[in-house]
Amino acid sequence: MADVSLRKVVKRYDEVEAVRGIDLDIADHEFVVLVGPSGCGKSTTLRMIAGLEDISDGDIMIGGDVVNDVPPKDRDIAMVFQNYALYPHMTVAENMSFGLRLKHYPKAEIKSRVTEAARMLDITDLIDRKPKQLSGGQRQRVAMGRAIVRNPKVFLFDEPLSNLDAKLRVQMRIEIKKVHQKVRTTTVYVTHDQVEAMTLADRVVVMNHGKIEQIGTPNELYHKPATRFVASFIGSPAMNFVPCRLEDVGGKLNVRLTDRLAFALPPARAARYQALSRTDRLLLGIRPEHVMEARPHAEPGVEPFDTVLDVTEPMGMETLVYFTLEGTQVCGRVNPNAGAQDGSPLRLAVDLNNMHLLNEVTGAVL
Amino acid sequence: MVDVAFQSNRAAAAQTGRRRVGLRNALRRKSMSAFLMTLPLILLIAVLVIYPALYSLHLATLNKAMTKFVGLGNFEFLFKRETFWLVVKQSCIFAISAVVFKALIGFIVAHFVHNVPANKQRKWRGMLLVPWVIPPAMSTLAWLWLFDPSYSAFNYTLSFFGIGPIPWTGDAMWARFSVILVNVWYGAPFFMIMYLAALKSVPEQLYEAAAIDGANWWQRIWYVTLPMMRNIIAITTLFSLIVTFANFDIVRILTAGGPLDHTHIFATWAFRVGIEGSDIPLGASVSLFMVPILAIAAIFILRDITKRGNEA
Repeated sequence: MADVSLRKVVKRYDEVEAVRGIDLDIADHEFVVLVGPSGCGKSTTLRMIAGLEDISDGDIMIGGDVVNDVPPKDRDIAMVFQNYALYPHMTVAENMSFGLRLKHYPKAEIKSRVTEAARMLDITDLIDRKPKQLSGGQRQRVAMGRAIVRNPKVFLFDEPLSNLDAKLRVQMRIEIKKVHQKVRTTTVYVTHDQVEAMTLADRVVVMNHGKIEQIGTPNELYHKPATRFVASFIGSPAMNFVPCRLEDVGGKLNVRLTDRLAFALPPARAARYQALSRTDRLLLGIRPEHVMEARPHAEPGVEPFDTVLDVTEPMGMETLVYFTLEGTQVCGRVNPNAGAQDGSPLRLAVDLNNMHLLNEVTGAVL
Repeated sequence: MVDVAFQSNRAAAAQTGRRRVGLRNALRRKSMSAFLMTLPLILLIAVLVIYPALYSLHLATLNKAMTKFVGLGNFEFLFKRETFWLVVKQSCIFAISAVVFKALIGFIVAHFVHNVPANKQRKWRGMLLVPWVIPPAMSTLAWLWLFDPSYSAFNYTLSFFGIGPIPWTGDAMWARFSVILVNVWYGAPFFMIMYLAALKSVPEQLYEAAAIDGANWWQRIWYVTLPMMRNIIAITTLFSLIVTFANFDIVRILTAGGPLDHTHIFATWAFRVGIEGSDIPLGASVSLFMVPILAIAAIFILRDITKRGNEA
């Protein structure tokens, strides 16, 4: 068990900077997920922590010791790979005990650790099989078992679920969470799937173009994104961004979306945005669940408007509706009984209490 | 009358009909159509392999003039000759040591080439394959000149260090060393290319997993590389053992079996007694000795492969 710290870590491949100076502190027992689109440097960062990639600049510390030049085998880490990387010629038990055997642990201890891990992962029956005789989910469990028996300071997961089908992925996600609740080992987990990131993490690190965009708990990232990238990356369907500007109308602050459509801001929001320039090009960021069907009674901060729907997507428990505002497509989530139909008009409402205002140029959330 | 003829006709028609149905059924069975499809190849093998093999068996039972059946007489004669046992010993030494060194050098060189950056690898692969693609009769001739006792590059170079002159092909031990050296030089590239292909098929993540599990360089080779390459090592070793055992050109050109038969192996000695000594039945008997030795090796090595076949 140990904490992990990254200080201004840089990874350069010839001319390209894959990781551009990231700082990250991961506390003991914490489950941190690095998430971002492909090529954002998240896997490279993980591999640098593992010692599989040299770092070009900066420091990596595990348990307070700088490990920049420590080879992987001496870092006391365990890694679960995307394609499991099980040794095909070894049985499940041999795969799991390989690291312990190399370190010359006593046979009895190896056996008890493997048995314990197999029991925890529910693979006791498979212990004498070869990887080829296992399904994808079972192989994933073995790969996790191989990490658990080592009882390392840090677990590293490199997109461990992306080779599994959707149903199994959800199941294994829960397994991983359960395992972490039991062993409490510091964990760094890389994924491109924001749902995985949100469901597993104590804290999520959103990366883009080799830099950290934002670090926070899943709820923080969802409700208080720092940048347009985070706002659009986290959440599905993605947040809507509509070009807008602020204007003062009769002593009140309005946000104007189109010539015909403007909303009065609720007092809390108005106070927050009062100081902004009225000429700045801004974006109104609003999540689909905050664009819903208009209710008969008025609620503070919830502003109704009329629109014509382009497309509707009935999902069962809700219906996604798509409409266009000045050339920008906007998504909303309405009650399936609200009468939304392709091409028909509908009265919607936008909950401005949950709005975000972004600088269109810098992408910063204001 | 007409009636009878008509009936017999119908009976015949029914019979051919039944036969046609039988043929169609037979064809419908997978094994039957598979057999028919491989028949041309089976015939080709029969003509080019089985017939000569049987013919040499037949030859081995004749007397020198090929006029009389002598049964196992040729073999009895061989067993009593010292040269024969010398050839058996030399064939084993030659084949086993050459294959071991070819495999070892091929394995090491394959590792080096594997670690060369991808853009330069093609060049190295091409250069290292050269010994294997030159016809051995030609390259052995070049080696023969290199081994020349008085005017060769080897002895000239060694003379600067005060060594030699070494009788490369003149002394029994040196001659054996030389033919093995040339055979290794010629055959190692084959191992290199096979092992390189095998190395490339080992997933990089297995090495990374092993590195994290705490394996050092040697342990990674022992626990990851070698097990992953087991089948290819077994097959190349067997294949090379057969080819090396049956080698003819290198020994024939370099030493012609000399000095005093001390580098003869089965094929060259069979040629010596059969063609040069005009005792074709005896030559055939000599060459037949390769079969049981190689068959035993094949059984051992291939048995292991089928055992592990469904693992990888």
